[in-house]
Amino acid sequence: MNRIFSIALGILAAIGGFVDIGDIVFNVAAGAMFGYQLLWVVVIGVGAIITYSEMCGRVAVVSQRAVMDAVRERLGYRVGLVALVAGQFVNLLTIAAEIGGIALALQLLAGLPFRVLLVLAVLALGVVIWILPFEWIERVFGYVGLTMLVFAVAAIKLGPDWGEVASGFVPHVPSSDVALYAYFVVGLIGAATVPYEVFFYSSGAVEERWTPKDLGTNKANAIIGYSLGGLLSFALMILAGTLFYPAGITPESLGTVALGVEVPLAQIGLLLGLIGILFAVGGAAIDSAFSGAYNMAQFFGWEWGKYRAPVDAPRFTLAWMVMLVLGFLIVVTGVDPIMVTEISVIFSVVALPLTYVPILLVANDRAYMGGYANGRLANVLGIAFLVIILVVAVAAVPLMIVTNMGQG
Amino acid sequence: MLLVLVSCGCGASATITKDELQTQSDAVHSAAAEGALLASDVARGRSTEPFARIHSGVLEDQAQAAADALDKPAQRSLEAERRTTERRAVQVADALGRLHDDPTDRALAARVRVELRRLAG
Repeated sequence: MNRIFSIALGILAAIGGFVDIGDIVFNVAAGAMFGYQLLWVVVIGVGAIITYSEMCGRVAVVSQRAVMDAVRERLGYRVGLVALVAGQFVNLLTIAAEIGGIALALQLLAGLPFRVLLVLAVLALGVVIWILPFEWIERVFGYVGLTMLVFAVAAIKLGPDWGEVASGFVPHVPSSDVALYAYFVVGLIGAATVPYEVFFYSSGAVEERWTPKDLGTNKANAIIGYSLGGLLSFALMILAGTLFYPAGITPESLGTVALGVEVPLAQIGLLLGLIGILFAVGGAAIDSAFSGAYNMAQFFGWEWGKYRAPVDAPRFTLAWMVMLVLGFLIVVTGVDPIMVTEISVIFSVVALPLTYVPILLVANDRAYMGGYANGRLANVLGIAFLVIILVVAVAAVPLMIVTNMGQG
Repeated sequence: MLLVLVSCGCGASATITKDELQTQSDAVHSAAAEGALLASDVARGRSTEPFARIHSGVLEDQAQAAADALDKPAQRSLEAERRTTERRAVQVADALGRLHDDPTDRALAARVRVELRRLAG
């Protein structure tokens, strides 16, 4: 029974981490602009996050140290500081985007003014994090976030051409709009592999006090959890490719995503879709706020962990509060949350190597990992995905400029 | 990051280029086509009042932004097309505005759906 519950960590990471506002925005936009042609990119993104989450979970299990802790200890202060600054910058943008996403979903549900809902969103997040224990945060956001599966039902009900869908899993280069296509390749990989996911995942393993007995659970969580997230990404892209692409509709708001589920499933689809988005994005906001606090605490050697009372980990508690407030302050300025989302995803791509290279190095360190160091398969996959990550990291900002942030 | 944002945002010129005209035309088409889907759901009682009101308002803003972007001169060879597209953008924004003002009126939504489908072309 414990094992089943511990898989909830993977489900939370999948729904609240993998499927966040960045995933929703990029998958729907990619489907609307290129139909099913970019489905193969999601496979790469899911493969990369499974590989690296399993690795950093294993490091955490063996050493009882999360990613930033291990980076600081094994790779030194300077490399650690660069990773910390890059990670925190992206975390902050991500939190702002997620808080904006929560307010947008609430607005579509309740019709209240956006800024009022922003305040409610950040207060609700603070209260939830303060009151609920780690496991309950997992369960509430993980399981309610599963209502996102309504997007898979909607995609099927729209009746896509499954032959065309299958052809989308074959990588290819289009004859036109190559730069825009490449921008979405970068964005989809970035949305699937944002750094906070691995920071949160490895710290969660320490929070849950995993031991080497839990290595099977770690593998199951990474594979099942992120595969489920990938399934939802496929559903979002197929839905958009079936409904919006033929109609020439370019999504520019979260409402378009919700409309995608309302058209085939009416009010019930709309309500379930919005609730799913609300909890998936809410879970991601908590993940990223925690991730920022974990990074700070692990780097500077503070007491950390949600399992500790706030008074026992005061700087950690203050750190997640500050992250939430700063994220709120960014988005309350009136900046478009969807634009913040795109920027956060693209800059997270740039920061990816600073997170993933240290994980690969530490997971290969036999002095540190002993018999649990990477095997051949983990290294082959790790290096292959790292090469892809390095390429997209270099291409991200130039493509963002050339395509005017995907506007063509 | 500011440099990147500035680089992305500073494409505006005194006159409308062919690419810009195409971009705005696509935006108007997108708002009209999406608005027609929304209006269709409202007309058939398949939407909710808050969603229809908020989302039609967002689409109205998109169409109005396109109209504003088109409110400047174009090269002589593009001027007729610019005027047509700008007029269409205003009509789309107007239709979506009516849906936004009364998102529970199913008869109105049915008329808006027909109008937006025609404007989407």
